Amino acid sequence: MKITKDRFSEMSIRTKVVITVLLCSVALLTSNYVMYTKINDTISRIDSVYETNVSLNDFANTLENVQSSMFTYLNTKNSTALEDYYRYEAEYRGMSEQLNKESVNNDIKLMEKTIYFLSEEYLKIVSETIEAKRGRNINKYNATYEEATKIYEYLNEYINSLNSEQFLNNSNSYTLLLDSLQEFELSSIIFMLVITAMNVAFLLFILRNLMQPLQDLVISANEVAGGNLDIELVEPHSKDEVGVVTTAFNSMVVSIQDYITKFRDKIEQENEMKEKEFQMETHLKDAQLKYLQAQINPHFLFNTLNAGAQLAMMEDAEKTCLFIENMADLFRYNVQKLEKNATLKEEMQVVDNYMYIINVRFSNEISYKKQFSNIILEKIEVPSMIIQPLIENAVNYGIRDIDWPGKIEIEVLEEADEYIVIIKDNGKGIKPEIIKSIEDGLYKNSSKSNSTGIGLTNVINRLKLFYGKEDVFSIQSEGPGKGTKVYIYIPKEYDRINTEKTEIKEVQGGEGDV
Amino acid sequence: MNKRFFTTYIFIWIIVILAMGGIIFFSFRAFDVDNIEGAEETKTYDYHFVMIVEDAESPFWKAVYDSAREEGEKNGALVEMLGENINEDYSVSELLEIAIYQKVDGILLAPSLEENIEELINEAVEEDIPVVTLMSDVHTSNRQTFVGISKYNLGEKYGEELVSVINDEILQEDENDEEIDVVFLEPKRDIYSQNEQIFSGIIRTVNIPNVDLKSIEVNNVSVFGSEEFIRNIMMETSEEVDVVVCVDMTQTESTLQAVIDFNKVGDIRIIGYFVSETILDAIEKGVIEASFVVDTNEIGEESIHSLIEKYKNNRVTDYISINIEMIDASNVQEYREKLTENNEERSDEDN
Repeated sequence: MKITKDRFSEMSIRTKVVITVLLCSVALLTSNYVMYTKINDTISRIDSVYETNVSLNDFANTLENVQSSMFTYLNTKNSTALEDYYRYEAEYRGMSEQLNKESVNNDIKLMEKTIYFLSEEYLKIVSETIEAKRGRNINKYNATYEEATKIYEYLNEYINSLNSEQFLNNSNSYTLLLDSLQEFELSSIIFMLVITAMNVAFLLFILRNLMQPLQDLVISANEVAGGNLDIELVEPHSKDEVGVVTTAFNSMVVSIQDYITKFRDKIEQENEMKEKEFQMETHLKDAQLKYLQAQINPHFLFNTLNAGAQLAMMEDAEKTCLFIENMADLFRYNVQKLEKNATLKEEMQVVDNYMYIINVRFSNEISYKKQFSNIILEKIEVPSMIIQPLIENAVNYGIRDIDWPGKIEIEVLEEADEYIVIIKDNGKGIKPEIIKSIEDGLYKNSSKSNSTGIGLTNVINRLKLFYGKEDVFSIQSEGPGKGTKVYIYIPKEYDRINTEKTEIKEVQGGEGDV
Repeated sequence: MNKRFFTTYIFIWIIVILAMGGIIFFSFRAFDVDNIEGAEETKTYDYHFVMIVEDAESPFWKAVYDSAREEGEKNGALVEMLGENINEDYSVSELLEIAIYQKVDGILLAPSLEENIEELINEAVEEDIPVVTLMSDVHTSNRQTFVGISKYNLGEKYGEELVSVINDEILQEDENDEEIDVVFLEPKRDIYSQNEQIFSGIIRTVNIPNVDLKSIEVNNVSVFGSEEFIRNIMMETSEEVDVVVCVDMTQTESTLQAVIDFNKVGDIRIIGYFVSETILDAIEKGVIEASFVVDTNEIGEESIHSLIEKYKNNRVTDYISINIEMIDASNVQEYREKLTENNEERSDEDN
């Protein structure tokens, strides 16, 4: 049994189904054949049931022929009649030989015996009659003719009675056969039904055998679809198609688990790398800062500059003094306000400082105009170090290297719900692609020289963060040579975010005022 | 679990198939007509005897035939009641002719009143077919044996019974002191039955004064003639008849019926012949005083026996006398029981 079971499970589904169907078909065909044979058999028996009656009828007919041919011959002495007589007589004798001649306890056979002996006597007397006729012995043949006729009548009576008996018998047999046929049909139907039921049950069994693994698979698949990859893997029961699918499914689940693990690992790795990069940058920046800070000690700077200013004053170099004071203010502002917020007025002040310095450097080549309407600038809060870097950009990228006199204008307008700060220059302008990349936050200025180090991107980001909206900044330029306008949109109402992390103490004039 | 299921499943399959196979197989066998047809085993006999009587359907001859057949079985002889199987009603002489043509081995004959019976008997004997006559004799013929009763003896017995009945009657009716009228119903007189012997016997035995004993011949012209005839007699002489004596079963039953119909039970007493259910009932109820019966078994046995003796030992007996039994109220039960026993035995054998 085990061997068969193993062999069975190794077969493909197609083979299994084919074998099942074949088995069922064989069962049905066999039973059909058996029943067909039996029914045919019974029918042929039924056909032959009335044979005895038919042959008896023939027998009676032949007897009649003998009698009538004898009669005709006696009547007419016709040689045809004589021939007929001989022929029929032989025929009749042949038939009567078939009859039973023994004394047996069977009514029908007994009647046959009677008929046989009567026939013998009859034929004897008939031949005597014929002889007498040929010998022209009128008296004799008359007498024997009467006797023959008497026996003839007895014979007919017996044959008829035998026929009736036989008919009764045959009818009984016929009825029996019919009954048996019907009974057989009934048992055949039952048999067929049982075979069919067995076939169906067998099919169901095979189907169950096939479907069970599929159902298990479905359950597992649903589990996986639901997100649970930790399912118990289903063992394939057989090596047929379903088994193959189950194996594949299991491999898939394992692969997915692997893949997810690998993916997680990879992500973790990437995160680690990014973190490292970031840390690197931070460190770098830190190092840069420290380097710069190492280079510039704020206290030292202020003190030094103040000293320089005082020296200039003492030397009556008012312009130099003013110049150095502007520098000091600028640097002080840079350092103090690094992480604090400022007012717009303070920012403008710084711009003033810066522009003074720039104009000194460039020999007053850049005209600088401010227009503030009636706006109270102290009341407008802005992040620190946003205007000056923009002016610086205008100077470095717009005004520098141009042939015509440079102009920078700052305008502050008041709208219904915002203030607009416009920084205009008539410099080189900016190409539209560059404007776009700046606004997208993708522009990186590669040179770090000649600047305070705070990039445009940084300004834009801080503005966005400070006011909590995206459209705080825009650049317009009609193209190269047409100047640039930078717009800052400061909303009147905004959520204040606490961007002050550490307070750097205000350095008031530095150590040791002179 | 799967394996166990599979195994059980296959097992059940096999059982069911075997069961169905068995059912089919047996239904084949059971309904095989051959088995039913050939249920009887055919036996071949040494001798073929035939019995020829006029009224084969009468219980009397049936009983005789049954016992003859039984006796024949024991001796390897097939006994056929000739004419049973054929539709036509042949007369005794016609049957006799058929038997002769058939060349049977022996004939048991209850002769009819036809003219050519004697001639036919002789013809049969010429063809080496022994003939045994039953109940009536053709003593002028060459028949081998006569098995029957002495009619005179029967008459004496009737007479004895009649005497006791008459005496009883006298006791009952001694006031009136009238004549006792006895009617003897005689079947048609013929040379063979010798029924007048019975009457002689009765007369000789009944020697009581005041008894008017007369014999009336019953006309058997038509098949139902005796019954009509008796009714007529009843209607005519019902006032005057005290006892009716019948020597024939049909007459006994007809008389019985007439007495009942004319409401003469008790007034007219009946002494009858033979026993049937009706007659036995009547005896039990007292409507019939007594009935004389011949032992049919004995007739059958003795007749066959005599044929066998002829063949085996070439011994021939001329006359075999059969017992006459009288059944009345005293022994009717006993007789009934004996009859039932016999019938059961017979029916067992027939199967």
